[in-house]
Amino acid sequence: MIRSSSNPTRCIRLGASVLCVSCFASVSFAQAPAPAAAPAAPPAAQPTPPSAPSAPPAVPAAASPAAPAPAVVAAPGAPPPAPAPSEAEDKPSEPFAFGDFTWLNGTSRQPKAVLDTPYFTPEVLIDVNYTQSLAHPIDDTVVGSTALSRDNELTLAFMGFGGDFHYENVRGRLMTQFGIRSSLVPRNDGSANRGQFDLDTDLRYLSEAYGGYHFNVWHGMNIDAGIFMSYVGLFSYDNFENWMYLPSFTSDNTPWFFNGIRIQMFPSDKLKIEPWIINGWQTYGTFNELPGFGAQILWRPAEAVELLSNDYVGWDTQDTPGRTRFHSDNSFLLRYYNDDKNHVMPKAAFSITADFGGEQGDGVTPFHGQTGFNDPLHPAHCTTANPCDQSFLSWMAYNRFWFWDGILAFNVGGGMMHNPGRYLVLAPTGQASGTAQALSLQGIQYVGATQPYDYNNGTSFDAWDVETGIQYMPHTNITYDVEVNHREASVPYFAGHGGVTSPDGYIQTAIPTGWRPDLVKADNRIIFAMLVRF
Amino acid sequence: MTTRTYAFIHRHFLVALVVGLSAVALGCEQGAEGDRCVLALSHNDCNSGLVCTQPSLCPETYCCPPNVTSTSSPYCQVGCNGGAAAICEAPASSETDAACAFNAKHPYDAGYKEPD
Repeated sequence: MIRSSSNPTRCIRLGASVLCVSCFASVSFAQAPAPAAAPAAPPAAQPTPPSAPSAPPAVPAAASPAAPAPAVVAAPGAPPPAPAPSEAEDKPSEPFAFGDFTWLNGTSRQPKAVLDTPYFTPEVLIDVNYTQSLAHPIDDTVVGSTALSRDNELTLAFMGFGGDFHYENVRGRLMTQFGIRSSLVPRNDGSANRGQFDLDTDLRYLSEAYGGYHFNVWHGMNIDAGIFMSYVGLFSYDNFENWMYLPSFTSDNTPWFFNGIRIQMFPSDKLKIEPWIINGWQTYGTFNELPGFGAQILWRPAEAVELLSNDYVGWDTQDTPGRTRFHSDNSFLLRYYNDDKNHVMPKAAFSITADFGGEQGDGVTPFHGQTGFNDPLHPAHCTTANPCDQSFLSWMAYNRFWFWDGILAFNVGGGMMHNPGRYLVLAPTGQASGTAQALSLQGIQYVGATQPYDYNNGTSFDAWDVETGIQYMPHTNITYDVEVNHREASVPYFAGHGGVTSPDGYIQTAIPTGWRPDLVKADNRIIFAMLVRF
Repeated sequence: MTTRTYAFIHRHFLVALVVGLSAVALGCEQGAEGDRCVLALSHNDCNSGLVCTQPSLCPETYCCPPNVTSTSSPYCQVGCNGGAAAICEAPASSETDAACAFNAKHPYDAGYKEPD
């Protein structure tokens, strides 16, 4: 479809609901504050709770990676038993335990684990959302997100249970993954189509599963192997930890998980260096012969500042072992206002993330070369001598104000993405799918899409988004989220009213000859979410 | 924060949530001229004065005026702005033959400009 965008008049009444929410926000904020105890931030000296399954920055700070001290592990919610003076002097300080980092985007705001035990810290996550697009797609399908999947339906996006196992220096973590994200995220991994044993089915219900060992060197060192959360893109896979529910492209289009080995090293209590050897860029398997390599450097010089860099190199394109992918993801977070005595607006902070990357070899090259060949009938002819542009440039920025002792938060943010070659563009679904869809079409049998999205080298893709919303957090274990989001792309990409499935939106309906999925250039939506975590 | 203030915020947030959800749930489905529509629905999901139509040599349905000669939308005209070309790409049949014949006479311009 070549229409420029969904018709803005299609769903005018939706605006009323947005206005309603805005009115509410202004009314609530206008109320006089009253000093009292709210869900308070933990004292800086207290140990942080076991990390969220996904919280990239939280992991190093949390008990699971650092946890060499049984006292901390045994009672993360309570002050640790006071060690003997000589022992306290000799023992290195816990990484990132010098401050309260619950303000960070992508990090748990919970001060302690509710269900903690000496050997196992259970965790339960429930994530339910409702979203509606102004386009109102007939097949209730969202295109272009890993957070949203179904339109105009209450959706159990994620339900997971598991937790951290910890006994002396041996550690492990398990977090199951039920709900739509168990198909929404693995569908982007083409490596599972290589060979046998159905990797997608085997692993889709596990969001994290790793074991490892803690070494008492420096301020701690962990070596873990299995499936663990990716750190690329700042936002946490666990939406409970994020400032907003639907992240910008920089986060949405970069990995949520890795499958491999990581080594977390803490040379000081303010620094983490973490190299990875992984199967690939959010893949269960490998596309070629070599694994992917990467590393994270996380530095928190003070409680109000975080600097984060994730860097990756790998070979992640089918049948092109000579094509190397590189990516650098860099974030800066600053809590620029903090006054606990101010009960109306105690905190304000922002995050900025900038990414750059590309692919080199086998007919493509980053940042120059052929691009803009967006007609699949007239693709580019990419050669080593005349390669096509295959690169990624993006940024996203968010600002958050906390109100009423942190019970309410107002967020605004957005970002841009430039991705010639579309190698990080999330594949549309249904008849517009550009990738194999074993579970989205016709049960377990793969049926090719009638109009697959054009992923040829030499294509172009630019997009931007802006969003705002509020989060209501009446308790440390629950968040209500309301936000509005606008996205635009340079080429038809988002779901229009006709949807991407069939003329009436059902998969069993016959597809007329030549039927085209309804892809449009703009997407406007409202999102409601409820997130619970124990 | 006092219990009263807390309760106020809690109550009003939930009210706003319910009202917002209700408004969204009642969201309209009206389509403008040239928008996709669904023939299979029991009601017309097009704006007043428009009907859900499948133009000739078109694989999809669009909101169009009853008299297609008065339309300015290319989606309401024969071939529906690339629809004939899409049919023509399918395996050969009598339907594709007609679409290809039309497409030969009226080449579809996708609007894509190849770079220099």
